Amino acid sequence: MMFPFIKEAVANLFSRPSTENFPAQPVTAKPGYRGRINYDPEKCINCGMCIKVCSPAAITREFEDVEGGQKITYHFDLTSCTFCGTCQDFCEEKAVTLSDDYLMFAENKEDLIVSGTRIKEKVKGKLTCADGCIYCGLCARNCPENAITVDRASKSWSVDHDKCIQCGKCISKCPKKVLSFAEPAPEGVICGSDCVFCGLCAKKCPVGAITVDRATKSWSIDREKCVQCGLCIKSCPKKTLSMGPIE
Amino acid sequence: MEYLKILFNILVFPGCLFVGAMGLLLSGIDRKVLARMQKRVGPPIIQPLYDFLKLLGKETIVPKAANRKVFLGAPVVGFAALVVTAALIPVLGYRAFEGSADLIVLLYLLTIPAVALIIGGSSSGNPYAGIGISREMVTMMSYELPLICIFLAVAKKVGGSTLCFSLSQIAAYQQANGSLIGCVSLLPAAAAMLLVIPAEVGTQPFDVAEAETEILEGPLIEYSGAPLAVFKLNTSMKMYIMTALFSALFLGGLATGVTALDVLIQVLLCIALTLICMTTIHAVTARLKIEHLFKFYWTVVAGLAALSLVLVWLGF
Amino acid sequence: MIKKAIANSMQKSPWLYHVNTGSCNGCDIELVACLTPRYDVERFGFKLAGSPRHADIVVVSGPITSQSKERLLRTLEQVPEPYCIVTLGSCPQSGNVFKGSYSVEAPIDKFCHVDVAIAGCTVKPEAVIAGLYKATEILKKKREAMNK
Repeated sequence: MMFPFIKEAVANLFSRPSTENFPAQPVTAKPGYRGRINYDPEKCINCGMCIKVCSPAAITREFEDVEGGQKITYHFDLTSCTFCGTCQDFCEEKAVTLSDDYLMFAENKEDLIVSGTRIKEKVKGKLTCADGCIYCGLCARNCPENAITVDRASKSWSVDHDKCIQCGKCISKCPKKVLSFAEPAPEGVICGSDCVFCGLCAKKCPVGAITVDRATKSWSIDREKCVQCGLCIKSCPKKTLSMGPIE
Repeated sequence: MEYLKILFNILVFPGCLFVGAMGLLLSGIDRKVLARMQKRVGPPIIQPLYDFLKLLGKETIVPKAANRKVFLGAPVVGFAALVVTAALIPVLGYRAFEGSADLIVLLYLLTIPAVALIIGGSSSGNPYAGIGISREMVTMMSYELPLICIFLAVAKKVGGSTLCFSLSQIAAYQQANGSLIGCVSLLPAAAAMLLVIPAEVGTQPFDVAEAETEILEGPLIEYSGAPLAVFKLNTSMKMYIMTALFSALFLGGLATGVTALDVLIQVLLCIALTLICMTTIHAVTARLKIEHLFKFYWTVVAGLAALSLVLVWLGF
Repeated sequence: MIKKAIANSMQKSPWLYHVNTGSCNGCDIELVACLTPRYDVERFGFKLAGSPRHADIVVVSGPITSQSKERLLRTLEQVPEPYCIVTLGSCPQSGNVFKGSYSVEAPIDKFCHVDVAIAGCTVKPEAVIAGLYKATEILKKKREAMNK
């Protein structure tokens, strides 16, 4: 029988034990430790990327319509989380972060669910792209719901309003800042200052929306009937008709 | 009056209460020093007392396949044998019972706790317990041979041509002529006894019978609650009894006349012996397999004891 | 008074029995790491017991696979009262990434009452020590409740 460590064993009797005095002295985890999830609902834009990338499907959200908007609640289930940190990596707004708190134990499962809620006011308008769009396609690439279609060759930009969840990711990604939720100003046919009251526009109008009176020098249009075909604009000899913002 | 004294000896000192308390103390010191040797903090020294009390508070479950009377009676039989053994061993100067063939009675009494473990294990009806008891039987066989040689050597040395098996006479001889460990011819026997103690108690590296992770605790697998508490207490008491036997056989010359001082010296000696032969070896070795254990005891340890026997018989 | 001493000892000497029901072994390694000199959970009296009949705290790790579910239930029946169940990690509580698989029967709440759930993937040894300490307090309460 061999006794290889007997010198070390006896020497250890006279030296300090290498035990960490844990409950008496608190221990902080090393930097970069992925512990308890902290969710800041104020920073969250409700894009839902964290839900998409979570592999154990530990994140859920609920919508509730309240007056003034929508109440959105996110639940992060720590008893299902694998603490990989992918939700933290994919959150642009840094609303989801993994702290260095490792003491996660509880008698009830409900204590281990991190939740946050915010009320999102209803956005008045739909997503619109103003002039200045360079058709780079960054908005389409970053859209979590694939609601935007951009074609560089034919210089077209369109959005499917049914798919759009109004998260606003495209607005923050646009390099030219031309995207917004503005309600577009209503447009219609307007008559400029060069009108000679010839009445050609009224003759060309297929629905009879324009009324021109030479005697009283008046020009008016029935907005309900106007279909915005643009024939009147083409036929005006003074080029004084155009599509512009109306009140 | 006689009966009161006997009752006192059996129940309080050096019987039930004393040996129980000493056993728990030695067990606690063993665990604490082992932890320190492994660079850990370790449990408090009264941890075995907490273990014992906790086990008393657990439910006792008797499996359906077990023989109920034997299952519950085996630990009690072992406990009773150990209490009587402790009452027989002198505490340095204080001799509770005078007898003429103590060592032979002791030899038989010391086998009873091991047999109680075997019978308890076999009555539980579990195949893991079956493996455990066969290993326990082989272990018993391996350390009995050196033990007998050691007893014979001491008996011959003290008694001369008529072998002296009386512990009280051995103690008297040592008080007159100095400790037996001082005799050169009995040094191999003392070394052999130091190696027999861990096997008898069942600590590593010789605890193959009760190997924890290998056969799920061996014979004790189906025990729970109070019977388990008594079995664990038996193991602790054996620690005290074996070290006290060593000090009675080889270190008797250290006795002063005063009983209180004797008890103190005995306690210190037992602690020192536990640390030397049980804790240190436990800290630095791994568990031996049963065939290696058998070979070790019947070659090295029995050889040392036989060497001592031969030397004593030749007159040294 | 003896009853009070026994209830106190329940908190000071809890023996652990570990059941692995199909775990990746991460949580098992962290549990036995608690017994190493750095964390040394033995200073509180914890000890790994070899048999479920010796256990006070049953530590479960792993999403309960269909094959191990029956064995887990049989093992739990063998543990003498009073005892606590502690789950390690997120696998026993919800199956973690194995949710919805044909052979995974998590959450464990469906068939036994869990006393302490320790979350993490994998759990940090200090969190295991804190969780086990809480389990010993629950054990003491259970023993006192049994006394009445």
